[in-house]
Amino acid sequence: MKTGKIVILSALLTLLCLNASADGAQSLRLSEVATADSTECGPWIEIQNTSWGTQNLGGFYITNNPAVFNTQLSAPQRIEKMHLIPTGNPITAITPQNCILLYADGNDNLGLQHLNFKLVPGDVVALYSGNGIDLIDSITIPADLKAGQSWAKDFDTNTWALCKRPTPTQANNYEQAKKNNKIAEFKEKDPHGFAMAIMAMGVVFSCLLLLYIFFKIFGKAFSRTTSEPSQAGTPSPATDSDAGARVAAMMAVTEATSGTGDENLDIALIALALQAELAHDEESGIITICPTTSPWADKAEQIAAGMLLHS
Amino acid sequence: MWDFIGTKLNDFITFTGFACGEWSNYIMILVGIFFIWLAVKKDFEPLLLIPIGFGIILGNIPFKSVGLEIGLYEDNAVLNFFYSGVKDGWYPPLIFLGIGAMTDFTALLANPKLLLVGGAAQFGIFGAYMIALLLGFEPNQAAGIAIIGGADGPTAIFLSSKLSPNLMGAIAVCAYSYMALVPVIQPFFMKMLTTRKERVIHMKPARQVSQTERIVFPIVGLLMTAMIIPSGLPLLGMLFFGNLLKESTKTTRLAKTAGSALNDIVVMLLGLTVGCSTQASEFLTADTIKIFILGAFAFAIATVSGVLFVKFMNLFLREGKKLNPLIGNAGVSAVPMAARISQNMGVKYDKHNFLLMHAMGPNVAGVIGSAIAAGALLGFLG
Repeated sequence: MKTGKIVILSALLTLLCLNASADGAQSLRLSEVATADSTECGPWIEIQNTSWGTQNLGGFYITNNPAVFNTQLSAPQRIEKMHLIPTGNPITAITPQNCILLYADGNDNLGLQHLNFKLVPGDVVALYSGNGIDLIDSITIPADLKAGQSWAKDFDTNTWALCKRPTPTQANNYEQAKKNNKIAEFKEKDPHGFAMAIMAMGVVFSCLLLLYIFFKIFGKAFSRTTSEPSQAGTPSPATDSDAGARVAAMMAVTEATSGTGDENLDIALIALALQAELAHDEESGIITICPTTSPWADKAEQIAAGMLLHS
Repeated sequence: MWDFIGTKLNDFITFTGFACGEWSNYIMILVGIFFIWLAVKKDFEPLLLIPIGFGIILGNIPFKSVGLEIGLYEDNAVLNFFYSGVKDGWYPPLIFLGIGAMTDFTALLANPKLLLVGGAAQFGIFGAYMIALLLGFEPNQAAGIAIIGGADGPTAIFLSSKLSPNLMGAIAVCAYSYMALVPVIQPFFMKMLTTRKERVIHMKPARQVSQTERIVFPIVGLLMTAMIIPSGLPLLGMLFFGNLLKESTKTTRLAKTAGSALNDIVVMLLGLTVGCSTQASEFLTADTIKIFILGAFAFAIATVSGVLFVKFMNLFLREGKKLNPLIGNAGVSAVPMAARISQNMGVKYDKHNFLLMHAMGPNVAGVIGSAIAAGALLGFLG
């Protein structure tokens, strides 16, 4: 039995870990590429981290070799054809919503951002995860990509298009732009806030209405199935009206004796007295009102404690 | 040597707070002292106003920034580290964890229609949003200010840190100040909008709620709210998680920690750093005055809409099942202050009418409602 539980828990944890790692890899995307003939600064590949957490590109593989798409290849065979992005360097860590530039100039001895292949128009670019099996992202660069142009991804429409003004590491702050657009749109189309009030109140009411319907039905069904007569010998739970009468009587006493002088404390004392008096174990709607005084501040407690110490 | 001592002392004097201070710093220090006085002498939300008041004093002690890493906004400063919980918005969800672990939702489960009262009171947020737009605030700033109407400090901090970080100090102080003033603001509107006959309505006693219902509530509650409005996930997730810790009865230790020690630590740091963020240069502006005016409107609208919504519901409820409109004010999420006001008002007009339990329903619904409203605003504008 115990072994079974351990197996189930291990399986669940493994599933969670696998899912987490897949999420991390999937948030890395090719976002813009330029070839040897297209820009002055040389061919480059821009990879964007679309998530809100830092992702490290270290340990991933990248290539322009179309042979890697052959599904018959084993992982080691595919890895042989690709360039490994070195691990253990903070340069490859991409902060949320940011990007990294890799120089596909064929000079990987110039630094870890330089790749061992040179990108030309018509090439493919493929990004593989560290196991050499999972294809993260790939694109084919148009063969007619001209000088001064790049091939860039529009994350809004999820399509690639020709970019006449390449924007290495710059045009990727889509989220801030989207946020500004949202605000500008509300400012323009809903200057008095009526639409926002209707929509947002609609959302609030929808959620609460759903909860109301669910718990109305659930509560009814449940109270039907659990309604059992109270056991003989056990005190039956008092009704609210009984409790009300008792509270009223106690309030009258506290009023007549002016209580402790603190209304909240009086209510707390009454609640405590009621709790001690009535069987409250399963009764709904018990509120505990914390008294504002503590034994350190309460005169009566201090005196009692003092008497104990002296006795 | 005397020249050297003279020069150094002269330098030292230029670094003192007295030499660097401006009149605005002293005003803010007085405001901080006033907050502490309110908390100690008038018992207005001492758990919040004492840390905030002291934080205001701390944040307004002037100094020359020469890379000593001591200021709230300086990298690597201890205060900056504490402030990250506010700036990055992770204190509010931790407070919601504590609220969830401390809150008993049975009053709500016993009478689920009270959820809708909690929803109606959120109109205070959107009423204030519309007024804020009229006063010339940008939609994101208006949303940050309007959330004050939810009467929920952590939610206000969470949303303003995301949408209008430059106004966060003023919004947080305003939200907490008005929460402390709930007993002053609400009774006037409650009295104005209800008749004597309505104030003495005795509500039907609540039914028993089983343990299973209480365990199911946080799970279903999370699914039904966060699936619709995922942007409210940090607040709603932690609120319902805290409640599950409490209601499962198997994690009492965790619930106790979340609701006591952890909550107290976060409240201390949150209050202190929010107070610190109200530096005179940022705080003493015309916008702050507007925010305080808007906050008052937001609270008033929330109270009015809650009370009126209960009256509206009563039109459809048959005799014996009617709700006392005095519980409508409790739709704001100032727990349990707003419910206590309903109780006090109820007892004032009928000594046998105890509304506290009934008012706790809309009160805890208000917590959920304001978190959903914050999520909706963040979703639309964030």
